[in-house]
Amino acid sequence: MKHLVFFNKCVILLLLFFFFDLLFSIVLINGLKKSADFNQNPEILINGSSMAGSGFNRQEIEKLTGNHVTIYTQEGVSVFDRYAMINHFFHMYPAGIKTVIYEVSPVLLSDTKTSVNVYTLFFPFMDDKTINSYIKENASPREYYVHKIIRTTRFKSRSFISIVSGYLGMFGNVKTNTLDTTALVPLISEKGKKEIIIQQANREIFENTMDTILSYNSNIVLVMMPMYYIKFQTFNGDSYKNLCSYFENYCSVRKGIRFIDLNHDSLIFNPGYFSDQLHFNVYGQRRITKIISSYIVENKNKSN
Amino acid sequence: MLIASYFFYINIKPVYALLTAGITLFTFLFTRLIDSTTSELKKKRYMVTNIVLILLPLFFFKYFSIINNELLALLENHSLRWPLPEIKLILPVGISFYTFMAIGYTIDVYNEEIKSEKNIGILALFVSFFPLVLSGPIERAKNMLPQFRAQKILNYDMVVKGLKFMLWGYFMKLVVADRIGIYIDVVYHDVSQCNGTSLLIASLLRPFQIYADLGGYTLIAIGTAKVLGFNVMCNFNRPFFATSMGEFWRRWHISLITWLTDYIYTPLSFSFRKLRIWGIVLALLITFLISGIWHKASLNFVVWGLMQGIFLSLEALTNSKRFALDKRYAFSKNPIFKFVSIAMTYLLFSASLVLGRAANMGDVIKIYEKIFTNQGTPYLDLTTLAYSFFGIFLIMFKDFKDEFYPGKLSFFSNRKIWIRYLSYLIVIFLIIIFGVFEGNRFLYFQF
Repeated sequence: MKHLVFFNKCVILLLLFFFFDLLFSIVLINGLKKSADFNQNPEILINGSSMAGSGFNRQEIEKLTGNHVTIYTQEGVSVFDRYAMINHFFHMYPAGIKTVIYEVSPVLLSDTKTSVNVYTLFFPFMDDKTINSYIKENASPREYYVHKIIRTTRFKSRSFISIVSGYLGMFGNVKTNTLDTTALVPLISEKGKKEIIIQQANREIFENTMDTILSYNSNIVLVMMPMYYIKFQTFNGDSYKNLCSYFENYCSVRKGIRFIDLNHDSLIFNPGYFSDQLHFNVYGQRRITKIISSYIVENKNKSN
Repeated sequence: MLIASYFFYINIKPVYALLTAGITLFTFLFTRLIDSTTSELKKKRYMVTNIVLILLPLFFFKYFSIINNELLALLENHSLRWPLPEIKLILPVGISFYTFMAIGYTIDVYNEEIKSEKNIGILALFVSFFPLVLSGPIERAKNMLPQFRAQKILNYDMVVKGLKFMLWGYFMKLVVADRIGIYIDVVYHDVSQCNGTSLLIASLLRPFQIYADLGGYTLIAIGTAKVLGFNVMCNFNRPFFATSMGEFWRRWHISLITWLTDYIYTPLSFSFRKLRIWGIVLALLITFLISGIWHKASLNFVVWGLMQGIFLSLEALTNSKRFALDKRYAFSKNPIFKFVSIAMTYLLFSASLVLGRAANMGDVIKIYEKIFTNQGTPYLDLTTLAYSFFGIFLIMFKDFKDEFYPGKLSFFSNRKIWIRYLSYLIVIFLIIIFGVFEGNRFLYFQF
């Protein structure tokens, strides 16, 4: 009799577990969507890595441009992951949007993958068909099914910060520290060493991504995000120029795509804009947001 | 159960199961010999031989590389080369723990506290019992052997109790210990770069990391044993509410400390009894020196052990005076005095743990120096720190409640079923969302 009671209690606990699992996951995904502002009908999408995430203030761009903005960025995403992100976004908004600001970086087309487990960042969006198949391709079967069955496992402590900020409506960069340039001294000896090679496979994926965006009648702005000059100078100058030429040439033959390189002297030499060599602090974010917003407004006026 | 225990250990590294079997065999043979003879001299010889034999693997695996390196360095300093064979040794997981259990059993048989076990299977199970074999608690034969002999039937209450222990243990390990570990590892890895504030935060977090790690492991072990129907001793008793170092060591890693007390400190203080209070001081210093060397044969741990010995000796030396003062002014009843004593005890322990975590004595000195001068770059991973403090708050809240309001405001044992179920679910979801699952090992596996 006692065993039966124990068994019944286990069943009840299990049912409660799955009920709360579903409930919590709804609350959590809602917060996450709010932090990227997936819930409204956006007019501008900003897509990229954490460099873009630290560089743009959504509310400020909305105020300056008068357009609704969604910032869909993740840490360490490669061109492959970004393709999944773009497909995911347009799966949610099949009507298309005005502009996609697509962050590019020197390593976007040369590195196969920045990090091997980037796909784990997309677990929260597993219910979406495109993200689901992307995760199935990358994750082990055990990992895939655990996350598929127990929904709260999709949310890690890192995404929890975004969830809370989504509910609290805190979208700005909160980092106020400036770059400690002394820590970058060892990088000086690396000057000009890193070759930027455009990998064929990456280029194809990048061009497929552009095709996908254009198929939704959206304009594209490719933005080369700035990095602190010591880091910037670790890349071979000629190969960097080649990469920019590739983007410029590509834009000249494809209608609706423009390219801007933000590695200006006024930005990259100012340690006061960076919280580390690649990411912006609140001051850098203000500057980048202003530049991009002005660019959008100017081009809107031109097209008008 | 024996097959399950060996299967568990073989799964980690098959060859090390032979070591466990060897220790069991020697212990069985020598304790049977101790029991079979009436000669005190022979009994003593058998006991000492067994202890030496079962300590050999522990010494070999733990200290061979260190002694080898030190010897080579010494010889090279005198322009001599005598290369000893280089053996890359990986310490068998849990070797200290089952060796200590076997030694304890041998001494107990010698002291006629228990009869030697006639069934080698039961003794083998005692030495290799899988919930305890990796990091303790270091159990006693007189508690475990009768339980192993008795026939087990599934006990619903024990199963439930065990599962609750396991749940809280996983919370402590995955949510608190491993989260704090992320911060501490970064800071202690780069002592020369980090500033004093970062080092101070890491050093103050270290006791909580060990408590949550070893305490968490212990709860999982106790819980597993309970589910199987065995009662195992507890290892921690809310240590951060101790008001003195003496009390702290009665609450921290209890199974190790009681083992050291019974088999090292008590015989030593008995031998030094003619020295009166200084005999106790000497016994304390030697006991904690051994404890330090057991943790690791390095200068850091020697100093750490001596530090603990000195703290306890100072308390022993001032005991009567403090007792007289307390009798007169009733300090111990004053909540402010109590709070200050708790804080001081925690700070002393945190300060001593710098020795246990820093790579070498140079780093230890650098850390103490930086804490007071605050040179270097701050490392403030606010997200990790926020989650760590949240976890610590929950653990301390539970300990505070158990310490000062026992039986009140219970969650896992609440009479209302919905509160019980809700608290289980909240802890499960906290583990799922805030747990660190990147395969961190338990800290005490290395000992």
